[in-house]
Order: sequence, then C-alpha cells, then structure tokens
Amino acid sequence: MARKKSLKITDEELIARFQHGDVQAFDTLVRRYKDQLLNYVFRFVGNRSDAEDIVQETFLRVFKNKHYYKEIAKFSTWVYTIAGNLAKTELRRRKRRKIFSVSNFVNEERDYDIPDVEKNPEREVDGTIKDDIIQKAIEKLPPKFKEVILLRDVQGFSYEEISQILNIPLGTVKSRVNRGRLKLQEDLKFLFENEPKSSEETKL
Amino acid sequence: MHQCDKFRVYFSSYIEGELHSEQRKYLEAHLAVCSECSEAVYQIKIIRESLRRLPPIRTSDGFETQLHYRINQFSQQSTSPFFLIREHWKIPAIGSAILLMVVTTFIFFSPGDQQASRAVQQSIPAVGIPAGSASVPGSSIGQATEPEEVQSVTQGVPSQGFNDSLQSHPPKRVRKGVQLVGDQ
Repeated sequence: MARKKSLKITDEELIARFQHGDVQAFDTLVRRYKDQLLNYVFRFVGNRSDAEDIVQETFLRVFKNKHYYKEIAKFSTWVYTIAGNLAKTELRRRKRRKIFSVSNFVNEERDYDIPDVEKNPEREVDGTIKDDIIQKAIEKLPPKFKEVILLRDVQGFSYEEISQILNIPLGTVKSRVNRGRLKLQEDLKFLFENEPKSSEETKL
Repeated sequence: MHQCDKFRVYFSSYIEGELHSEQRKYLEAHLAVCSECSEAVYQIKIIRESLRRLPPIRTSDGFETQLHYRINQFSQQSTSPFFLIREHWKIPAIGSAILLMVVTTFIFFSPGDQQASRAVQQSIPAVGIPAGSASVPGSSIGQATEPEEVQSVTQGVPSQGFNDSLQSHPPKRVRKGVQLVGDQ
C-alpha cells in the first residue's frame, strides 16, 4: 500500500511538467495515485461508488488548480489533502441528509452495526468477514480519528507527513493516532480475544 | 482504571518504539501487573497489522476514460463567456462595490456641497431676526408679516409709560405694626 516509486521521475517533476503544459505528466500522476487515493477515500466514506467519484473530483481539482501547487510541499501531501477534504465534505453531506430523513437514519444505523460474532459461536469468522468488521469499525470512528488512522496505519505515512496533509501540529497527530487506536481496540476487542499470542507477547 | 489511563497515552509510542528507555521500563512494569492494559497493547498491535493487510481495491476500468471526459467538459466550459462570469464573478462584483463607495463618498462629501450647506445654514437665522436683518423684502408672505407681529408685541410690553405712572403714583406705604381699634 505504501507509495512505491518505481519510475525515476518524481511526482514534483511531473507536476512541474504539467504546469508547463505537459498533459502526459498529468496522466502519469493519475496512474500513480488513483488506486492509493481510492483505498484511502473508500475506507473513509465506506462506499465504493462515492469513493471513485471523490477520487475523480480530486484529479479534476488538480487539473483545474495546477498553478496553485508550490514545490514547498510534496505532491502526495497536496493531493491527499484535497481528497481528504472532499471525503469529509461527503460525510458532512450524508450527516445532514440523515438528519432530515428519518427512514435513512434507521437504515444507516442498521448498516453501521458491527456483527456480533459472540451470538453465533459456530460461525467461522474468516478473513473476509473480519475485514468487513474492521471496515465497519473504521467507519464508526469520529472523522478526526479516522483520517489519522487511515493515513498512518493503512496508507503508511509518517507523522510529519500527516501533520502536513491535515495541517495540524505533530503532537496533535500523535495524540489522535493513539486515541483512535484505543477506540478501535475497544470496538474490536471481541474479534481478537481468542487470538493466539506469540511467546514475545506472552512476556507482557 | 484511573491508574491505567496515564499509561494508555503511551501505548502507541510504545508499540512504535518511540519511548525513551526509562519511560519504556516504567510502562512495562505496569503491563506486567495489569492484564487489561497488557491485553490492549497486544490487540492494538494485531489491529495495526490487520489494517495494513486490508485487501486493496482498484479503480474501475473506465476510471481514466471518465476522468478525461470530465476534464474535456471542463475545458470546453472554461472557454465560454458564461463560465468565465460564473467562475470569476468576484472580480467585477468587488470592482462595482468599490466604484459605488467612491461615487457615494464623492456625492456626500464633495467641497461644493459643503459650501452649499454652509450657505443654507447662514440663511436660516436671517429669516428669524425681525428688525435690521438681511431679509429680502416681499420675498414671501410669512416674512412680510413677521415684522408687524414683532411690533405689536413690543407695543404690548409695559415700557416707559408704566415707569412714569409708577413715579407719579407711588404705592401707599403700609404702616408696620398692628393698628388697634382704640388707636384712632
């Protein structure tokens, strides 16, 4: 999931070329980032169709506002900031819609429930179901914890990069990551209670 | 539980190996005796690994085609005058507002107007002064009648004639003291 750069040309060089009119450079950036961004936004909003729409809008904004990019920041920081802001806007829009629609409220509440595996002990919790449960737990996190957990633990950004993407102090990033992980652990503890511990872990 | 809270803030730093040796030993001493915190640290490690292993999803086949379509739409729109107005409406709006403010300021505070208002202020008291003022004779009915009214008022005021009558007929002096019936 990390940002592998097999090509020699850096993102910053590509965006510089695009700023000078090279549309091929833009296409290369799209190919480099489309899947990474989709994974980030999908984990954020929990809907594939909406996520793909947001990623398209992200690239459209890069296209429209290419001259606003300055090389003082990394291109990845810039593009993730745009995608994250659009994802948060989508969540706010849904929240407003949920307030005004009682029927949607009931349905969405049901959708967001974490399946209770303890009620079905015979049921085998395979990888897919576990992934679904983790995804639902991520979606239940408050946005300020969700974004840092996704950027740190799913996308693999450093704390400094997250600080730049979200434009918040480094200490705040670390604090939110810790609180987000504690919240996830609280919500998912039922899933990992019977996980076998390694010898190193049992020392604790 | 309250005791555990002060250790929980270090869990992430501990898992990522960012604690100083003293802090790490302090936390490990607590984890050795607190099964709940020990279990939480263990589960957070597993959750981190699970998050890293979440299956990646890929964009649909038509993603880039659709993106190019949207970009083309934008490029076509951006050349139309309506689009330019819609996108850059702030510039003419701000310009118009500034122009309006300048014109308004000029109308209300121009030097010519100040002279005119001064002239009006000077002409107002001239109307109210009854005699010897710079009123224009016969300019209006009200102004023509005012001196007569003032004159009639001055006639009614007890002036010289009243003083003369006072001197010729002084008021009788009242004797002080009590006059009894038998005094006469």
